[in-house]
Amino acid sequence: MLHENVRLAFVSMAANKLRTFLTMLGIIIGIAAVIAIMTVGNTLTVANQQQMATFGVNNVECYIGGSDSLDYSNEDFDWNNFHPAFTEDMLRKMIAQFPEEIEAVGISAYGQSGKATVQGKNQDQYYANVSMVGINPGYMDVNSSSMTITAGRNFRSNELTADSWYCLVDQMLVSNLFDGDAESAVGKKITVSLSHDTAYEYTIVGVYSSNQMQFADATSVKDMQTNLIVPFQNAKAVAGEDSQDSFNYISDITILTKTGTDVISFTTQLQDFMNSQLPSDTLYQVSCYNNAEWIEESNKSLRQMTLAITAIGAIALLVGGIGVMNIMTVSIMERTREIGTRKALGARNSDIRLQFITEAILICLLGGIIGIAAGLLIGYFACTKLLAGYTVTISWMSVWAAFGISFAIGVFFGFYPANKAARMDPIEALRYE
Amino acid sequence: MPTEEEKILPEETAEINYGADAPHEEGTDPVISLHQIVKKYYIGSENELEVLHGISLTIWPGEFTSIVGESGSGKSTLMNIIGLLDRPTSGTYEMLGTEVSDLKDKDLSYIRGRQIGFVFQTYNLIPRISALKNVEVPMMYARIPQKERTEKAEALLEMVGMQDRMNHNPDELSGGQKQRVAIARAMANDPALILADEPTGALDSKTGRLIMDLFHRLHEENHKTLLLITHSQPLAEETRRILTLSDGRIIGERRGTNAS
Repeated sequence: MLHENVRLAFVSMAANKLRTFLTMLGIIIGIAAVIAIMTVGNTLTVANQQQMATFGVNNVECYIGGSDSLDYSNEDFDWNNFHPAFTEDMLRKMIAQFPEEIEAVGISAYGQSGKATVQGKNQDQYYANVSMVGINPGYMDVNSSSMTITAGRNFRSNELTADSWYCLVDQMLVSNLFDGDAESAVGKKITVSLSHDTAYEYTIVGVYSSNQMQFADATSVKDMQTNLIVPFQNAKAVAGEDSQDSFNYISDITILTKTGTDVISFTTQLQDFMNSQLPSDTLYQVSCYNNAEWIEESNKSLRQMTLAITAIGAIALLVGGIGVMNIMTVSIMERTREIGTRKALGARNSDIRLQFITEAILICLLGGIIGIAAGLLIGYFACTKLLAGYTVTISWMSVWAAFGISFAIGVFFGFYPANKAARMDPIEALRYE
Repeated sequence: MPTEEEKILPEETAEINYGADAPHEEGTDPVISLHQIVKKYYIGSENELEVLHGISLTIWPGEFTSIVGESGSGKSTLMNIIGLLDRPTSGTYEMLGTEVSDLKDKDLSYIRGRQIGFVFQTYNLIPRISALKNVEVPMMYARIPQKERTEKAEALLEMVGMQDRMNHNPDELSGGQKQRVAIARAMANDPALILADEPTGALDSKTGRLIMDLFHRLHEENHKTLLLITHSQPLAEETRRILTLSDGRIIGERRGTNAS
C-alpha cells in the first residue's frame, strides 16, 4: 500500500511539474539557507579549532605599553626615550608569584633581515631570505604547538651566549638551500649576510617546521622570508648599534601555562599582578590576553550569525509549509471525483489520508533534498571563493536534521488537506463536477 | 402491456418483499435483502423529506435485475444505500446473511470494497494511471499482495477484451473501452453484486450494445449477479427482473421481455 502510494504521489507530482516545483520552492529556499550557513559556520568553527591548536590554547601573551591616560598628541613629551618594557625583576617576580600556572616564558626579539647562502653553492640559485630572531630558552616550549623540531635539536643551555653561532632554521630554508633534506642540513654551515654589509657564519643545529603562514612581500614561495632562530644574546650582538632597542626593551612575552590551568582566570590575575608591579606614577600599563578568549569571541559571533540566518531559514520553511498546505488543498479539491471513486472501491478514510499525506511528505522531502544540495553548493562556494579558501567541512548533523525537518513539514502541513480528503462524503464527491 | 405485470396499489407495496420467494439454490443466502428501507433527509427540521417510503426487495445469486425509474423516483438514493455508500434511516439490509445497515464507516468501506462492484455512467477511472493499475485499485484496498493483483487484473482485462490496452492511460481510451476497464475493475474482488448505474448513458448505441452484450456474457457464462439502475425501459427489458420504482416505492416487478 505504501509503495503504491509513493508511486501515486510521483505520478501526481509529475502531472504538473511547474506547480510541484513552485510548491517546493519555499522548502528549497529555507533548507538551502540553513544548510549553507551551517556549512560555512561549521567550516569556520573547525578552521578556528585547528588554528587554536596552532596558536597554543594554553598560551597567555603579555604586552606592556603606554598607559591609556597618556596623551599621545603631546609634542613636548620625550617620546624618544619612552620605552615601555618588562624588567628582569618583574619577570622574576612573576615567575615566583605563579609557580602553579607558569610552565615556561618565551621571549623573542627581531633583529635584521638578510640572505642566507651556502658556501660552494651558486648564490643565485641557492638562497633563502631570513629574519634574525633571538630567543630565550623558553621560547621553543612556549611555541611547541605551532613549531616542532623535525631534525636536529633545540639549543643546549651552554649554547645561549653571544658567541654561540648556532641556529635553528625553517623547513622552507632547507627546501631552498639543501633540496629539502632536513637530516642532512643539520650540522651544515650557512653564511648570513645582513643589511649593513656584514656576513656571519652559523651552524645549523636543528630544523623546525611551523604551521603558521608567514606573509611577506614575496613574489614567490621561494622568496618568502623565514625566521632564522639564534640565541638572544647572539642576535643582539649582530644586530648593530642602531637596532639594539628591540633587544633592550622587551615589551612582549608569551607564557605557556601548565596543563589544567584555567587560562581565562589566570590571564586576569596575571594582568592585575603585572600592573601592581609598576610604580604608582607609571606611564605604562600591562595587557594580557589569551587566544582562548579570542577564539571564543570569534565563535560566539559566528554562532549569532548562524542563529540569525537559521531564523530566516525557519521563516522560509514556515512559508513553504503553508504553500504546501494550500496547493495540496487545491489539488485535493480538483480530485474530489477520484476520492469519491476510491471510496466506492473500498478505500477507508485512513487509506485516503495516507495517500495524500504521502504526497505532501514526498514533495517536502524532494524539496529538502534539492535544498540540501543547493545549500551545500552555496556553502562550498562561500567557503572557497568568498572567504579565504577554507577546506569545506560539512556539518552532517545539519543535513540529517534538514531531512527530518522536511519530513516533519510534510506531515504537519499535509495533515489538514489530507484529513479533508479523508472525510469527504463519497456520494457528494461522486457528484462533484 | 406485458401480461405478467402485476399492478399493485401504492399502499399495498410496502407489504411486499420483491423477490423474497423467487426460486433460488437451496441453502444459499440472498445477495441482498432489503426490508422496509426508509430514507429521510433533514430529520427533525421542518424541511424533513422522506425519499424512500419502505423498500423491501431480495436479490439472489446469479440474477440479472434492473431497477427502473424516472428522475426523482428515489433511484439514486436507493442505489447509494444498496451500494453501501449511504445508510438507511430505518429498515434492515442484509448482505449474504449479515446485517450491514448499521456498520461503522470502516467496516462499511471494507464490505463495500469486497462485495460491491460499481460501474458508473461516467466510468470514473483514476486518471494518469494505466488500465491495469485501475483494475488493481479495489484489490489494493482489499490488501491483496501486488503479484496476485497484477495477475488477476490481467485476467480480468482479457475477459473484457482489453488485454491489448492494458498499459494505456484512461485519456488514451474511448468511452466504450473505458467502460470495459471499469467493468473489469468492478469484478476485481469477486464481489457479490455488480452495481451498474446507467452504464451506457454516455455511450452511443453501438458501443452501448457492446457493453450490454458484455453484461449478458458475464451473467450467463460467468454467473455474476448484476443490478442495473436505469431510466431506460428498453434497457431494462433485457434483464430478467425489472423492479419499477416510483415516488420512493417499488410499484411492481415484472420479467423483461427481451431477457434471454
